[in-house]
Amino acid sequence: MRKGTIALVGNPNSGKTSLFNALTGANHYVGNWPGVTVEKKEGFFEFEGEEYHVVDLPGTYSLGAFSEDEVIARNFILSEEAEVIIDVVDANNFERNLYLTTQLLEMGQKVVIALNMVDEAEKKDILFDIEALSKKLGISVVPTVATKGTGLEDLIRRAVFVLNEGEVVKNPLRYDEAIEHHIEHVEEFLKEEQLPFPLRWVALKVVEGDQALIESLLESDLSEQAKTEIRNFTRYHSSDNFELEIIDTRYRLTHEIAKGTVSRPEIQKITLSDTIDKFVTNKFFGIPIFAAIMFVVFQLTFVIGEDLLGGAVASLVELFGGWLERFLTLVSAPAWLISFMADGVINGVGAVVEFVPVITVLYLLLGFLEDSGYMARAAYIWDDLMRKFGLQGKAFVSMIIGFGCNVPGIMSARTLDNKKDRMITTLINPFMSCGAKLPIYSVFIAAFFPEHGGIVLFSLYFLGILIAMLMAKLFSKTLFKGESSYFIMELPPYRTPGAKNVLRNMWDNVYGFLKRAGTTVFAVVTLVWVLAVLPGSVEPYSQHSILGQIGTFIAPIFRYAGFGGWQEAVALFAGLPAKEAVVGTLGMLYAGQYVEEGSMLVNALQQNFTSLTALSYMVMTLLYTPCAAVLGTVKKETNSIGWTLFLALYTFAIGWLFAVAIFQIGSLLGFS
Amino acid sequence: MLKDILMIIERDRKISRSHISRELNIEDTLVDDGISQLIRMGFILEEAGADCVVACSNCPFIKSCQKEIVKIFQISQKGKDYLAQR
Repeated sequence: MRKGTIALVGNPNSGKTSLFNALTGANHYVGNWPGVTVEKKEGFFEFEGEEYHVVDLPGTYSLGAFSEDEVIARNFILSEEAEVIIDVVDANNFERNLYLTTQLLEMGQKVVIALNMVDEAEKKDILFDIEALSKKLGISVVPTVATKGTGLEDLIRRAVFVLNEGEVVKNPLRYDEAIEHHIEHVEEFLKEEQLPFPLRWVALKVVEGDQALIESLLESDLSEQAKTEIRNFTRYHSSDNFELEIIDTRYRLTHEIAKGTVSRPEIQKITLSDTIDKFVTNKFFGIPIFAAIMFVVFQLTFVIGEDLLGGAVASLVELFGGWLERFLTLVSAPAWLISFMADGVINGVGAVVEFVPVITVLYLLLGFLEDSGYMARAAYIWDDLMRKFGLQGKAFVSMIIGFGCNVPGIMSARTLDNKKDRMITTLINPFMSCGAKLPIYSVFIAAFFPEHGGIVLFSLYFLGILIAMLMAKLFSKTLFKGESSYFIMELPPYRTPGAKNVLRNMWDNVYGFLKRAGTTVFAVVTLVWVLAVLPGSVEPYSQHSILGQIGTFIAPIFRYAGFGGWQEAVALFAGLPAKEAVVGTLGMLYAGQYVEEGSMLVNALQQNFTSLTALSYMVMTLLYTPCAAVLGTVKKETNSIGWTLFLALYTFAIGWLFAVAIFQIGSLLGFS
Repeated sequence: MLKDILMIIERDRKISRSHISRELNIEDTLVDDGISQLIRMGFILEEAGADCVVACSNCPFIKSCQKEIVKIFQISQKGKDYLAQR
């Protein structure tokens, strides 16, 4: 015959299930709690000839009604079925676990504490005065190590004693005067009612604003007067913060109990994360450190991606191009097909694909920074500066995302909660240098600044950020006035970046890049090729072709920026569907003109640009009108053709102005 | 403890569990609980992801869009009012 039911309650990972298994051995069975899919474990054990029923309740940190697990645990504890509760407390996280204990005591239950994993706690110099603890709480506390069976017999003896002898549980919690006054007030109008639970606990929960309990009371058989009083009380005190005060009192009690009964090393330990943060989030050093880190990233990107790997990929593309051309000639393919494949596909799309190593290395390194937790610090240190420019730090997150692609960067601006921040973040995001622009910089750097690749790349990215912030300031003073909201950022501990996350981030970007090369860039290059070889009566790729004439018409716009050739102008416009197409178009239009040793496009650029015009061209591509996908996103996000056109035109104007300024000032200073 | 956590968060405009834990001399896990309670009660708002009209399954930018570079919170009006009373 079963003598009684014992419920095991505790935080997740407190060792509750180990204790259940140790108590019941093979004598247990698993089912579900009624109406839900939460597992219910029950079993039994024998002690001094009597059989006891044990129920393992779902692990929970508190006994509110905010999750299914909490509701199940609470209802079972309050039911008459549970005759004694064994509260499994993890000795390593004593205060946190004790919060649940305070709630059990408030419920007026018979409780015994199994202070579990004391062996592990001892190793961490966390030591307990069990007797003092028991005295302070007014209940039995038994040290246990459930996995080893240590202390179990004593625990069972105490639990059985409490079950049979009915040890009185004192509620050690007294709230401040105002809350106690409200509890008494609620107790007063409920004292004559037939309540399913202890009066004080019900009154406390009403004051706390426990919606689940209040609703169940309002649906129960309470008198109409009591229901009206409950409704009035909750309505009148809806804006009071009783819940916070009550929870805080419980935490304060746990802290006070721990203070006199637990000795542990002071939590003064400065972690490695803290030490690093002292420097990287420092008001003065934070941004210079960020700049230094980004410089190293760009330097490595160029050294590894371009110098070490880029040449090999370029050689492979050229080798494949030569082989394809010979093969097509051998099989007597039509001349137009040979021209299209060699000049259009290989020199166009192939010129883009050559930059896969650069993209790979950059996103590998950025992924490493993100996964390590550093980027959260970067956003934090930029917060103050962003605010000075009329933005909030959160906008920097959108800007970081924009380094990959401006489309998700702009989409992430949705999470900003005021229109001013959303609009400014959207309008400045295209100045963030996306991955698609990287091939343009890489090929120009290889042609003109091979010794200073890292610093040029770094300067371009920073110029983008700088102009974005200046425009943000301008917009916040003119078009979108108002205050930015304050945000709080979480600084998680630094961690070793996970290979899976970093590689996945890298692959997502490389895949996107290759996909665009095979679709949008291919389509643009095909169109450009068709326009460059028509009409048939003129020299293909000449100024007399349709493309040449279009280019000649628009080229004068860029004369003051130093690159007034029709090919360069056409390439910029070809970049509107996808920025990679700039390189693809240049590769195709220069095809066959300058075949020398090394990368054909690099040699062609050296013939058509100077260092100064190359710089001006790179700045133009950094700043000018974003690609069609970005414009489409802006249209969707702002729901305005006007703002979309504004973005397209103002970015073009900014790009042009800066390109002209660089060329003109550079020329005046004697650079060429 | 909850009040102290809220005040530290407001003062520093950042959430660093180890920093709060050290300042209040409480366990890290307790700081976690405190922050969760403040969020649950609406004193702190956790910024949700993009509220999108396009189903994620149809979106080509899902991978970069769902990337969480930094967790961002905001002290709600309720939290600000509470801090102002103190």
